Amino acid sequence: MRRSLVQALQSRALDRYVLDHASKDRPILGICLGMQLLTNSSREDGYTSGLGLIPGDVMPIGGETSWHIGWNTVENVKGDPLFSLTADQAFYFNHSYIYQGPPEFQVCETRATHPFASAIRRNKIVGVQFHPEKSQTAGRLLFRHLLNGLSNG
Amino acid sequence: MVKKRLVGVITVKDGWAVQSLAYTRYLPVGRPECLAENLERWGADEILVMCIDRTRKGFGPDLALLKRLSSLGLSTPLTFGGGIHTLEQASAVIQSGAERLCVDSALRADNQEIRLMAELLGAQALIGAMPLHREGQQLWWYDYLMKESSLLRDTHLSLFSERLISEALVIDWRHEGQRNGFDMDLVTEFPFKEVPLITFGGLSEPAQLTSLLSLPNVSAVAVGNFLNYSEHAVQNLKGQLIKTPLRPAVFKSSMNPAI
Repeated sequence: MRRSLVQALQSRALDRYVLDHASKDRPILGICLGMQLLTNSSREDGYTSGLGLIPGDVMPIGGETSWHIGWNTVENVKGDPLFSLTADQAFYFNHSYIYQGPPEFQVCETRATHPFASAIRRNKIVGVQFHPEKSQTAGRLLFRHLLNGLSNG
Repeated sequence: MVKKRLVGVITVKDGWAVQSLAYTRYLPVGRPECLAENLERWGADEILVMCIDRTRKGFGPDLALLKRLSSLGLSTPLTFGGGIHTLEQASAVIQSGAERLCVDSALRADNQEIRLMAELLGAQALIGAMPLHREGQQLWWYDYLMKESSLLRDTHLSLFSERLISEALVIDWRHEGQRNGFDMDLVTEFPFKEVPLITFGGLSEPAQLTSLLSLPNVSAVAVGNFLNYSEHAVQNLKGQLIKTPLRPAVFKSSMNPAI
């Protein structure tokens, strides 16, 4: 999936568009695979390079279960105001790979078999491993808060 | 930790949502889109749309229906099944708006296509439907196309044990549509305990759902027509399951008022 997405981005020159957007300090939000593309690389479909906007890499979940499916809570471990609304709310996850990178970019954490970064951030570039667009009211409220915060911050 | 899910099932035949009774009788319910909107409004954790006549008629997945559902802008995860046999069809289903897909007869037909689906889309996108019944201590796997059952063997479950499919949809097909009919032994006797199970068929009562949700290998309970009898059926049912590891019912008024 990742390899075909990277190829689709490159064939449409959208990778350059996103990088140009980031260089102008404009906000970017990546969701699920979109979040994973913001990083340096991924081991999905072999090794594929990412956009390199947030340091770190994407690795298989591993452990007893190879995937993380369903509704889970998101802990705002850095107290990031963008994610102040996530407390006590569950969001929908559906993935087999996770972010691994410097702790300074890991703003939210989720506990599955092991804890992992469910949201990463570098200035105005934000990635969420879960799907706000599939998380009903909690997702809509988070979207509104994220968009307001990134646009006005 | 990840919550267990209450899945709302929409069974579709000839383009219409139906109440299916033991895979033999079908009663019309209405437009699938209307049922999906209800499940969304009531906060179902997932919606599973199963088009039961696509393979039998030699059709592929009903992408037109899936696109109509996607155009509703649902914010509830959607799983789509029926008529999916090839990687191309599976990819089209995901690209048309489903988060996950469910295969049944493809499990028997061509393991290589399932392997390709898992490779491209990821195991987390795949659910395998297993209509089962029990005779004595043995489980039998029902082939709805041939209308015959075969003894369930470990070899039938290799795609699950290889983790190419993330969850099994265990269907008590004989008790489908029968209130409180689900045979718990289908779960307790299921050969591979590490395979997460979604249970379906004759699930209606809170006590029954509570028992299933207490089992570690049950990741979700799926309810079909019993959710169509009353307004706010999902919230009402979840309200009776508050001591289970299910995601709690969500009401707009319970969200943070500061936002």
